[in-house]
Amino acid sequence: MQKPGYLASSFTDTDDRVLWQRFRQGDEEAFTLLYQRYVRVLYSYGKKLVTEDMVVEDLVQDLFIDLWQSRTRLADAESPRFYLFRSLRRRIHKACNGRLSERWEHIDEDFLPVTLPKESEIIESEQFQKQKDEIDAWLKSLPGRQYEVMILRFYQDFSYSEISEILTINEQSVRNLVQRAVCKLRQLTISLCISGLLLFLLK
Amino acid sequence: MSYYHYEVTDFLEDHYFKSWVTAPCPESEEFWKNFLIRHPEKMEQVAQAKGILLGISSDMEAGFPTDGLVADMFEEIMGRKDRPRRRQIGGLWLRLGASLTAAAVVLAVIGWLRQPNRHDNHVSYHELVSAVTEPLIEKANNTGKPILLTLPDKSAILLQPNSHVSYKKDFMADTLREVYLSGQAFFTVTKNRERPFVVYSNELVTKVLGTSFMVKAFEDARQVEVCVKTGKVSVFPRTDTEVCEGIRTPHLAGTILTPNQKVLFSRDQIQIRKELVEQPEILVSAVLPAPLLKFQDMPVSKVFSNIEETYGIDIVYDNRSFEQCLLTASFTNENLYEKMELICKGIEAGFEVADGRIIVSGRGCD
Repeated sequence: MQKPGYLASSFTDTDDRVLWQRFRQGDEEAFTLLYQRYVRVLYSYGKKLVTEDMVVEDLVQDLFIDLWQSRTRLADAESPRFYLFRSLRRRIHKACNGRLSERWEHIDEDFLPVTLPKESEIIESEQFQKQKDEIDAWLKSLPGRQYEVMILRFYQDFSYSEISEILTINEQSVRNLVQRAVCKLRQLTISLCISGLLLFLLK
Repeated sequence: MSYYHYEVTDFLEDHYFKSWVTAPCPESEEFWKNFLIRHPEKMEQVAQAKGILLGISSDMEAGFPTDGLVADMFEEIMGRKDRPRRRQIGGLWLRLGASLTAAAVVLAVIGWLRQPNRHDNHVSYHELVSAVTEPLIEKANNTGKPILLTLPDKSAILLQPNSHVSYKKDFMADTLREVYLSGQAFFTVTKNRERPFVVYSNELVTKVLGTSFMVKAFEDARQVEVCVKTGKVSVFPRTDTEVCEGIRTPHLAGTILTPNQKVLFSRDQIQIRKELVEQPEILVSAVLPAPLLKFQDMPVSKVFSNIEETYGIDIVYDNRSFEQCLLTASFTNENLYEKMELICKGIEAGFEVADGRIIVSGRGCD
């Protein structure tokens, strides 16, 4: 199976901290590396929250431009990744001028506006496809906020306290959102045919 | 703790489990295989946890920008990163520069006013066109029906009667795609980030990267109107030197319009006013939620936010006074304003349209 190349765990935080130090001293190469490392996940994350591609592009560009311009004033951030996500999230919130909060933060029943990949290299058998379809259906049915928390926790590996800061909600609410999302999946897949599972797991 | 007691969430939180899913190695393959042989009853939980991790990561990766876009954005960042930010006065030089620019504008305006037969600051199509040194192609519609034109970049112009457009003969040579308009036309612009598309109409400049919109700018009219159908459009007066400087970059400055919004530019007061178009339409998009048709005892905030999303507009209301309001209704083919009227009737409120937004006011429900 192909290893996803952009998972948070692919980079150690030490690496990041060294880059961050060099970047704050005005090292363009370090800045470029930070950009290359995070632009894809930041963009993809932004697109989950804002439907207009061009708005996401602008926000991500402005994020990096401001980052460069304020480099001397930045603290010795523990995690540049955390800094970037929190900053992008705030920009999105501001750019949407409160509209996002209506649509993304309070509404639980609405469908999540995501597009899911039709094909993926991880699909290797019909059984797997079936399982995959169920997961996709589930992701699609998750309310936006719940899905966002799942991304931050399980794709980006942020801690609960970091997520609570990114989303400016309390830690318990973050935990509740995760619980609710997982719960929803359980209801959905209760009818899963067990015979297919072994194949899926032990491929 | 033994994995035997793990639930789906515990698996998701577990580092060893995660590293097996995202980057399996022979040891972890072996470990989890044995675990499942010993505890087949945990299979469902493990399958779900694994599916969640893979589902999220493939969904995130599907949203990654293309390499071309990553490079484009980087170029833009590098180009702008050492430029001082807008609306930030930094130091004497910048201030001096700003006052020099202001002085230049004043001089230019004085020169303008001194021209014979000029009583106002209006710029006509002929003045715009004659200022261009390169050879131009001009198309005019003297018929009674709209005509369709195609530009060399495949963008389309639906030109209304009594209207003219001009563009450079060598349209694709410049980094800007420039069109001069007198009258009314609907533009469907082919997307090209490297070559912003700019429409000059009287004193107003409209800049887009790829979208569709209408410009109405008759020479004798007192207003210029721009309505957006899809995408994002930036408009600004020709006199806005700050925005004009950045015209060649893909960055959109000035007044930004999104679908269902329009601006009215008052030619005498050089003033831009944002409004909603007369007949806002539901946005056509696969990613937006479907418009609500039928609902029962639904909090009104939900109904509003569905309308906000499906029409791409803002509704302003006091969440505190309306949070208790529940609404039951069904829509068939009402337009936006009819829908708003029905909703407001139900919650004993009124609404008005101002500054491109809908403002709802009332006592609320207790």
